[in-house]
Amino acid sequence: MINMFDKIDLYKKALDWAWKRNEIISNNIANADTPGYKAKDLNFEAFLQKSLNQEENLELVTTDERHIKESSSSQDNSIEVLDSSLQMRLDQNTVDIEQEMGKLLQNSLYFDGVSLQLSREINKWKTVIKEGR
Amino acid sequence: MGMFDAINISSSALAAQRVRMDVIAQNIANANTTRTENGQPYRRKVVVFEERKQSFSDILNQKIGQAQSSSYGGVRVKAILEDPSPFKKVYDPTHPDADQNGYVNYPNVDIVTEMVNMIEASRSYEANVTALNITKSMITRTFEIGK
Repeated sequence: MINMFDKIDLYKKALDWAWKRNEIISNNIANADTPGYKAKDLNFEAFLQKSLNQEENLELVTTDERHIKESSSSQDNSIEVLDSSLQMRLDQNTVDIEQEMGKLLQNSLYFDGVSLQLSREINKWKTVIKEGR
Repeated sequence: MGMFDAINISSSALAAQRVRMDVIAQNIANANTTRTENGQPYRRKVVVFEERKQSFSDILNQKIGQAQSSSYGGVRVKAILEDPSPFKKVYDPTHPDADQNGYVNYPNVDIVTEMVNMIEASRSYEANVTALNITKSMITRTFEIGK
């Protein structure tokens, strides 16, 4: 049987990714004049893969309540990628402001698109629940 | 992944750029100040930025699995330093601050450099305002999901 929330979950993950990416790009723009700062980005495949894996119960097993739980942040580091394609300035900063602004706009449009799709998906289920009335 | 993290990041950058503008304005205002409190001419001041890292408690919470994922802190002003480059020597024996040979030490402020830096700071400010507006529109969009 089709799980009615499968698609909604997928959209939710795409929105999560765009949300996080917006934060990272904002941080790049904020640090455009910081000496030594390296521009970062978010890897979509790795992020989605990690989000999907979370449901497969691959978490570290703890035998006691007080054991330190597996931290999700340690995996996050592999998802954030340093953008190495950019040229480094004299102050060792790699932020290209034009590129970051472009990425920011792209990301926001992507977010709008996915949220629209999600709304349509929800409305479809609303129609089903209301028996088409 | 806090809701207002991105807004905090952009606003920290706005604050930092504003400090930079203030310091540049101070430099321009004092471009001809030959006498300050310590008797020396005015020295040009430079703002140094630093990536604002998370606080200790943020990192600890992450490690023990309380927080979902890493977040960013934006930027902050690390220090306001003095430019150590030499003063400009101008021959003007009529000036009250002239030495025995008739030379006056003027501040090491170059107006053109300051103006260029000021335009750069104002452009960075605008870029961060744009980022802020985009975050705002994304938040508004999430409220409309399911409508």
